[in-house]
Amino acid sequence: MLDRRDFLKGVAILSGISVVGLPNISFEATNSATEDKKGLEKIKKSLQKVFGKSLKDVKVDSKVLLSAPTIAENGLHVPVSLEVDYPVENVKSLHIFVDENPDPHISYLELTELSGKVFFQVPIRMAQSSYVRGIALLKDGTLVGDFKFTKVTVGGCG
Amino acid sequence: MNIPVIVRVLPNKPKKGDVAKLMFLVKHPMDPGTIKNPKTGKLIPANYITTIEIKLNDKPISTIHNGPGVSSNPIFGLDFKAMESGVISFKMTDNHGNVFEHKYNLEVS
Repeated sequence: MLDRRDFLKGVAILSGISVVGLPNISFEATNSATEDKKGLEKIKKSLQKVFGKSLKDVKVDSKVLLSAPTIAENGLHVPVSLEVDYPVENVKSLHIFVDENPDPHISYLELTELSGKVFFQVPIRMAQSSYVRGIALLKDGTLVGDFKFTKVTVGGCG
Repeated sequence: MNIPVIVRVLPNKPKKGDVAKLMFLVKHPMDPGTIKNPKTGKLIPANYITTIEIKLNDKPISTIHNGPGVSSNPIFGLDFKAMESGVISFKMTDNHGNVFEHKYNLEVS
């Protein structure tokens, strides 16, 4: 028989699941929309064009820190910055991609020995809610990156 | 023909050999070529800065390459090693091939 203590435990577990689980489910639901699949194709094409590599070759690294807002009210001006905790000698360039834009390859920075730290900040336009991808190309050819989903209320590409 | 650029180095007088932050604002519409003029309904032709070469006393610091997706009047930020006092020069090229230049005097303490 179910006594009071077991019942309370069950309620606690269930509520825990609903609190933790529901946002994840809704997030996945938005990501699996058809528009996002288009964005994935775009970013794959763009990566192939720029690096000659696929999205699977980009390693998500904790040393790469992309800061972009979770919700951007105006798509005309979304401040994005990318910081990489590698020595400058090992990094060749920093790239910023936005999946859903007409041209996903937004901007990139070529580094030299005179750039003391690996840091790049640029304000970008976003057409609609999309993944922002900050990718660093290392000298040995590997790609490391950090991805973030940014929601846009008003698009900024016409 | 020139475009206004506002440059700021943080800290203002960096120590010799230290890493300082270079922030600069480029006053430019950066039209991507996909936005319509609300009055006439026609597309505004693309007009944006594609490359910015940054040099300290003719030694390259870094180069920025832009696509059409950079917002208007952008503020760029990057780090550099303040090795010596001198001139930081910005050479900007837009998608029509026009070249703009700007210079900033850097003092190192």
